[in-house]
Amino acid sequence: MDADDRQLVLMCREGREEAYRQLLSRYEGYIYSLCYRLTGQREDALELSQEAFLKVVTGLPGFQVNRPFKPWLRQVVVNVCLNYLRRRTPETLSLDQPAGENFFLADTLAAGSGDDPQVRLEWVETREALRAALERLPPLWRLVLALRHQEELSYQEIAAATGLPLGTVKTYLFRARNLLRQVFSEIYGWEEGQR
Amino acid sequence: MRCENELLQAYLDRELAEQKAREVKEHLAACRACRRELSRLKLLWLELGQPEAIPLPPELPYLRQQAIAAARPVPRRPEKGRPGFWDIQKLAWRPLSLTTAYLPGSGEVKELVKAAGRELPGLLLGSLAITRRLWRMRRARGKGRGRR
Repeated sequence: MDADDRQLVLMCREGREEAYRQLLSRYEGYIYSLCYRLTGQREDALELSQEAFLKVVTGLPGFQVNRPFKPWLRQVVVNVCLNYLRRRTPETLSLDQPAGENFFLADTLAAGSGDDPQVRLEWVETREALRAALERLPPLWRLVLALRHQEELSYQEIAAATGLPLGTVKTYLFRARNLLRQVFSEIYGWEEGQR
Repeated sequence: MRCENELLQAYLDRELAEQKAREVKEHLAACRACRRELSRLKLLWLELGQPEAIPLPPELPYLRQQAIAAARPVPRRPEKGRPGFWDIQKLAWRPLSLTTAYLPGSGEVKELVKAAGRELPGLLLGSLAITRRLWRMRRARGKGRGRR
């Protein structure tokens, strides 16, 4: 564990409010970003961040000081996100199924804009397209993607963090990236079917 | 080995066993289409791995403070075996507080005071005596520890 983190955690356990403030302010950006990646919505990410802050403060006495702090924190945030998804997602919407079989860039952009998708296609940036496509993915797929590509966790670690079976983690990753690849294919005009 | 996108993805994730990774590598050396697919996937990996600059909302510090206040971290209590001044007071006055706890009701208070009136000063003096004794014991123990 980072020496400073360890010191701060010990000070928190003595009930020193300043230590809680320092520890949380150090990681609040990380917590918010992770929540935002999952929800894609500012307000939802804020609500989740607040819940995560609470869980960190109340859960700190149970944290083992000789272990690294950040993975513990990440697990707290992932749990908060998973609970939130189970609470908020209506039964008609699935946590793990995409909205459609195919993922065309025009549909993706049309979902977020009233403009003519064909006109937008001409100037759209890769990043914007990717962000729009990510928002259309089922929440669990987004979570798994964020844990793999942003947090750089292995398949096994993702399975442990989310409670999903290892095979499911692989399937979600594979399918999600295939859909995103379709979007890329349109942006870059890749010729398909010549593999 | 057949051309399989899933294998290429796992290869890029470094999730293949050594033997399987070697097979993929050999296949890539011989298959142009898979090499092209791999480079396309790498582009996607690069974008997905980019640290996205997510603007932090100004409310965060406020939410953080709210969470700390709501959870209200409690400072550690003093060690057991060394009662503080108020702990001694609580102990010494317990007989009196127990007596008042058994007061039957406002209507009967008058009767009770009349009946127990004579005993009340004794009870007060007794509680004071216990306080004094406990306080002396604590001081004596403190001095003893100091000498050592």
